[in-house]
Amino acid sequence: MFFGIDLVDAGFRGMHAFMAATWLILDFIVYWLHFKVKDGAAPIDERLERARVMHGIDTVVAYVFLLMFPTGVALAYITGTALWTTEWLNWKHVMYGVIVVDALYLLPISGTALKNLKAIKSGATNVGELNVEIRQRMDQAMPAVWLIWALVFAASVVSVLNLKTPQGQEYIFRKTATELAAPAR
Amino acid sequence: MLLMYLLWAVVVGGGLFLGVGAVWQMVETGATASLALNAVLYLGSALYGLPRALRLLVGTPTGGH
Repeated sequence: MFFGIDLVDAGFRGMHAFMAATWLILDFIVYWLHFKVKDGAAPIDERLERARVMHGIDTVVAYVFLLMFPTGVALAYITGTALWTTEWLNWKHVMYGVIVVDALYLLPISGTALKNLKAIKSGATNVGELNVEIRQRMDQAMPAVWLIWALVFAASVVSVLNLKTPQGQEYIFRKTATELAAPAR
Repeated sequence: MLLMYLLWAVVVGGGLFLGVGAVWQMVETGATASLALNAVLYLGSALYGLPRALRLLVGTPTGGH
């Protein structure tokens, strides 16, 4: 406790929320960058630079995605939200599970653009073929990327609707089963 | 490299934790749609990731991604 604030509780809540916001924003930046990367008519140096930035941001997003799991489980423990018996949390885990499957699908696709652009820069003769592969792989990845974005957004909404007070860990926007059963006064 | 260790730790370790927990909960209190989906998604991911995680741990080339 620090001036009446539970720092562990506030820290994990803040970190989890900050990570979700970071994930949503960085994913959008990567989406914006990908247009020029797959544009075969754009200068190679510009495309390569953008692909490098994209790859760097994607690495940060990957860490955020993976660290969401331990921070989320810790947060559930800290806020007294039981795993497996809390229905809204189970649905949130379903969303995260779909993201995990989605990420496994994207894993072999990621890095294709950077690899091909480096090959083009170093004088590869099959430039057209490499550009077609970049475009195809990125177009293949985009629906999966959008699905992740939508699921992170949906999971954030579910979390906000099920926020708890730091004192007593009672739901703010949701009535408990006891409250629902009690006659209205 | 740290990222790959973290990836398979979450996919396999996290998958087994949430997947087995969901199955256990269904045995205890009965199945729900969310628990069943959790079990399928997380155990499926863990099973998919297990050989890759083991290859990473023992240092054998993965031959894939």
